[in-house]
Amino acid sequence: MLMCATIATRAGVSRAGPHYPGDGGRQPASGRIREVSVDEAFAVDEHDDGELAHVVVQGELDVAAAPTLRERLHATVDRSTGAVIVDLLGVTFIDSTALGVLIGTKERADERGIDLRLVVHEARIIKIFEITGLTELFSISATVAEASAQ
Amino acid sequence: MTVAGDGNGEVRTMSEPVELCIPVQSDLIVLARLTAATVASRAGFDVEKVDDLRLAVDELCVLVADGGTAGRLNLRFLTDGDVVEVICALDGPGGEEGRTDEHGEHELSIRILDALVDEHGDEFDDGQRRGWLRKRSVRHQPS
Repeated sequence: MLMCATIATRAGVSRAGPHYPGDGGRQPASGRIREVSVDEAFAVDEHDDGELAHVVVQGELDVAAAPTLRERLHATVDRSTGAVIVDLLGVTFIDSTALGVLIGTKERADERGIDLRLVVHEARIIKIFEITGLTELFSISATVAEASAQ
Repeated sequence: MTVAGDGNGEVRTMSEPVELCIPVQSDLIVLARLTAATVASRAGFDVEKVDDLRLAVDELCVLVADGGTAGRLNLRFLTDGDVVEVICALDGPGGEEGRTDEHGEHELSIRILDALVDEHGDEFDDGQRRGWLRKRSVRHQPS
């Protein structure tokens, strides 16, 4: 069986409102939405709430998603004054390239005295952090509330 | 699908290989993952091992492409009994500067492959970069 694929690059698609995993799509009561972009399998939403900047990442984090992920996380760290929470609850796949982006973001945050906290609950995603030894590097919580309370 | 003996009285089921060729574009590696998941599922892998193979094939593609953006990745998926073997070869120049390794991404790939598959390797032969991996549906414990 032979499959030859020549498929157009996935186009970015904008949609009317953000989706927050686990809350049925409701927007947070406080905080300001900066931007929403959706690329079929990958999306980043951001809002801040005073001292906490909150980045919600969804979909598959791979080599294709890495440049956008890097740009958005670094921009959030650069304008933050307090902690940055990276919510990975909606992430269904993560590879070494995306892990490299998170490591780079952590280094950038450390340089600026920003506390970077990850939120991961899915067992298959936690497994990747464990087998790469990155549970030692990152502060990882199971819920956003837990990460916010640190 | 063909059936073959392994010399020990066991009969193995060998499926026709599945071949996939994709341009070296980061957003097309998802097709390799989809194919890996389909092949693993057909081979009887459970959900966790399907996920393992999907990620392992992604890492294999990224390692073989080595930061390149030209040429093609030729993937071959073989099922032999409870083993899935994947061979990935780069038909093209690869990246001039190689894959970024600023944060140890290469080492992360190797750790992931070490943990998720039974065997893996890579070689550079006849000007062609090639990587391979093998994964069983049931991991054999060393005796």
